[in-house]
Amino acid sequence: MDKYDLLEAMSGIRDQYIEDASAGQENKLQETEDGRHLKEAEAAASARSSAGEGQTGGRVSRRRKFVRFTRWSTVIAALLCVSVLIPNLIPGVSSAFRGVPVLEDYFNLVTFRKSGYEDPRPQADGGESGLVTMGAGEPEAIASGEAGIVSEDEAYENAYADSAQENSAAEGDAGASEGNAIAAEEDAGAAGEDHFDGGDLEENAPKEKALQEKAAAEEYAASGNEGDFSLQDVLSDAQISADIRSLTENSINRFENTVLKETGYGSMDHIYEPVTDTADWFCIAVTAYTFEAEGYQHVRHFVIDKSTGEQLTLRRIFGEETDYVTPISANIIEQMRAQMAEDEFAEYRLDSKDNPSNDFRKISPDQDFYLDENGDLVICFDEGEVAPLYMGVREFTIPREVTGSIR
Amino acid sequence: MEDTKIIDLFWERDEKAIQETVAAYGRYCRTIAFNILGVEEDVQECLNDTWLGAWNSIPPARPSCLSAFLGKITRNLAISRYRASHARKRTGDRLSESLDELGECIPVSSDNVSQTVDRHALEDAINQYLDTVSDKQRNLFVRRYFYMDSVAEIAQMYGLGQSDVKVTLMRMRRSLQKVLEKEGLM
Repeated sequence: MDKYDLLEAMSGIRDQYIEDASAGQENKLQETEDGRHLKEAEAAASARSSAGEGQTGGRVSRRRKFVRFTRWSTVIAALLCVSVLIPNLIPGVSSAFRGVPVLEDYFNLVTFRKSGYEDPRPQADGGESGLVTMGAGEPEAIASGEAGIVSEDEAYENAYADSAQENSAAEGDAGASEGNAIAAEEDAGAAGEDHFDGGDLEENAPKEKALQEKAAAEEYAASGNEGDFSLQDVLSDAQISADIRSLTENSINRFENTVLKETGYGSMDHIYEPVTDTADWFCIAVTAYTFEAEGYQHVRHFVIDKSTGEQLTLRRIFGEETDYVTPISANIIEQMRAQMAEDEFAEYRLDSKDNPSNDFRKISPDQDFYLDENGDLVICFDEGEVAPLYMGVREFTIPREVTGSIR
Repeated sequence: MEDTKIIDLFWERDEKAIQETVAAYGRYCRTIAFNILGVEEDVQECLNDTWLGAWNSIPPARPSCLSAFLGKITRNLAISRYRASHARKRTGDRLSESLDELGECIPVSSDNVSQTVDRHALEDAINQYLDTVSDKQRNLFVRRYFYMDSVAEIAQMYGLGQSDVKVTLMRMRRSLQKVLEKEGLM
């Protein structure tokens, strides 16, 4: 028997079951009669012939127009709601658009609370949104997290323009890091509670504000509070900003050369969010969400030691000579087996009969990780890395009897 | 027009039966065909063959559920056309996605490749399995593997998250595999 046999046998499903399931389709057909099917048919017809063979492309019924208008209205209303909620709920968002025409004024208008957290994203050339959308595809697919809809060509050009700007910014040395420092300070709001006064964002021009804050930062730094690194100092570090930018560039380049080249459709968002902020550590998660037909999530964490301002790696934590890979990997395998024993639907790549070469055996020496609020090591795996995609991103907290106290 | 009256027209060999069938089930069958074939020209030919197939089948058949009867004709024709034309890339691989998922039910074994399948036994086993699951699970299964809807469409149709649909279908495939093994079909 092969899978075609099974597929064809599905035609033998009881008529009653087929009819029961068709009830859901009637509702769907109402919505999509003038929508998806005809749209896909038009797209397929126009894609086949450059001479404009698409005979159905020109005709749009009134019903299709109404359906399309309703859909767009709903999307735009949802975007407006999100654009008001996000700057008021997530610190640093409104300041990220400082210097961007129109958007700056809009976010100043809708932001009701001052940002108490610095946006750690590297800013250059008037500020980048950290959002790259490539390929138009279905409007819904690119509506999430984006302030407006762009055409496919425009989105593609913008993506390349952003990448080019990032490349030229990264190549500059002192100039780029200074620009980052000023831009990062420009977005301070209040980096840490008492270091900077957010001030009146509406009154001060961005550059004047940045200069005032820079002066305040220098004054603070000279005040003798050594060892008490401000987040601003940490995140204005050229190497850390370059690492974050490099990560973003690399994921965008990979996306361009794989998904977009293969399908011509898709979008990618980068989200930057703090994970841990204690007296000792500051951890950022940079998550790339890639949307094709479904969404994929790739996460990379950056762990900053506040006492030194250095970015931590596993090698730095445990030492080059220490075999930390073996005990940590063994503990993770124990945890995987325990989860599979408790939950019949939990599944990890262990003891596979079909493809044992794909089984998880050990972490990489540079495995992604962060430190949680208790200072415990948390090892992270992307979707599909150690388990089927449906299991999502996997994290394992390593007990201290394995790692020892990290600080 | 009611199904019984449409079937009566078929029995009377009144060509109006085709018009009424198209009016009542044209969109329904078109959706099934499009989910499998994805190309307008192929879909149209498949639909034409469906109406012809219904005309040739009724009589002697007098289906109790006309929608399911027509849906099966359309589905079988579409799958045959798909296999014949090797039009995998043109569809966006809806059918190949379903095939790959169903392939998980079949253990990789040389015995399975050569084993002749008893089609009726397979259908009975599938129905016996579907008799044991909830209405929600059954609907998801039928939408995915009979109607060839995408996971996103099914999720939207029933107000579920896509991950819910994926996990439910995955669990059902595993259970179906156990049923087929128990029945000695693989």
